[in-house]
Amino acid sequence: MNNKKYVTTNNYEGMGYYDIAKVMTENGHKMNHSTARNIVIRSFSKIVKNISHKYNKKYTEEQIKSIAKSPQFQNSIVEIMKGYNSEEEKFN
Amino acid sequence: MLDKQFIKTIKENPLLTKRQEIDLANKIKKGDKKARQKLIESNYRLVISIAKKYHRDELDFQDMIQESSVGLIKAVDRFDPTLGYKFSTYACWWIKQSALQYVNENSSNIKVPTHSRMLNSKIKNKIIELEERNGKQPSLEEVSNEIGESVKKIKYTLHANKKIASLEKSLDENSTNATLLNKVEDSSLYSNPEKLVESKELNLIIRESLQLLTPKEEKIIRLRFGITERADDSNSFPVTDQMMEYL
Repeated sequence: MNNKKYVTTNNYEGMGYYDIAKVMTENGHKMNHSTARNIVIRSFSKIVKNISHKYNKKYTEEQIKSIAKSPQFQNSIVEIMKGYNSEEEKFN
Repeated sequence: MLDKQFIKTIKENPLLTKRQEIDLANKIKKGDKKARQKLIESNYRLVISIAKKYHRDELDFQDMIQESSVGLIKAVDRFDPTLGYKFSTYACWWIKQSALQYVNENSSNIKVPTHSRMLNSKIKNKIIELEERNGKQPSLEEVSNEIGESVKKIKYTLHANKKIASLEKSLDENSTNATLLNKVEDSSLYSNPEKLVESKELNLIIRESLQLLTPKEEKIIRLRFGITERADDSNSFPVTDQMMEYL
């Protein structure tokens, strides 16, 4: 029996991995829920890698994955993607 | 401090016996205004005693006495001597009610319902009791079990009854500048130019990192976190009607 549980904090009104996989499959990108999840983690890992590279930080793959999975990191990136992150942007 | 007239009234009206109370109450029922006055004035001691108990520093004692007296008057008008109780037994509940209502309405700028305030004091007393019994601060669950109210209600009550402080209130009587407002740290980025530059730089790096995502990855993240499409983005992943429905 698979005891693995996925715990992701997602306070946004987004979709679950099953729904994402369904939408992507219908649009010609055949995938299942775990692929969708892996793509999310891979995307965040890419961002972590680039940021750590810019700041000359050497993290192991494991550390990068752990940061990419952290809800705080994900929330910050999502806020930037939404264009609300910078305090300046709020005022301007 | 009580005014002289009030003290004089108290001195001129000694405590009544049970028989006298019944006689006055019977006269009041027949519409005797003097008897009513006498019963009220003879019980001012009770008002002062209860008002003292509920008085807080931030409240005016004279006003407290006045408000508690309203309770006494209500008790005088509703007292039924045939039930066999002493007047003070009956009146003290009305006086307490008026005193508590006054405390509730005036001890804070935000009015909290009396039942919430009563529950708040019950919770606080229980916390102190549990602390003394167990030697540690009790959890909300423990307090909830003891009081018989839900954790959610306890949390809400404690939050609703929090004391509020004015930012303009002076912390030092000798100085007008020493207000709470002047002591609160400005944590915004604008108070720290270095932080602002760092934050801008980080923001740029993150935006640059976002460019590394393939359209497919970007799309999945957008779907996952409910981020809507950019209208001006021609390279963006095609959005189907179904996707828009989901978003």
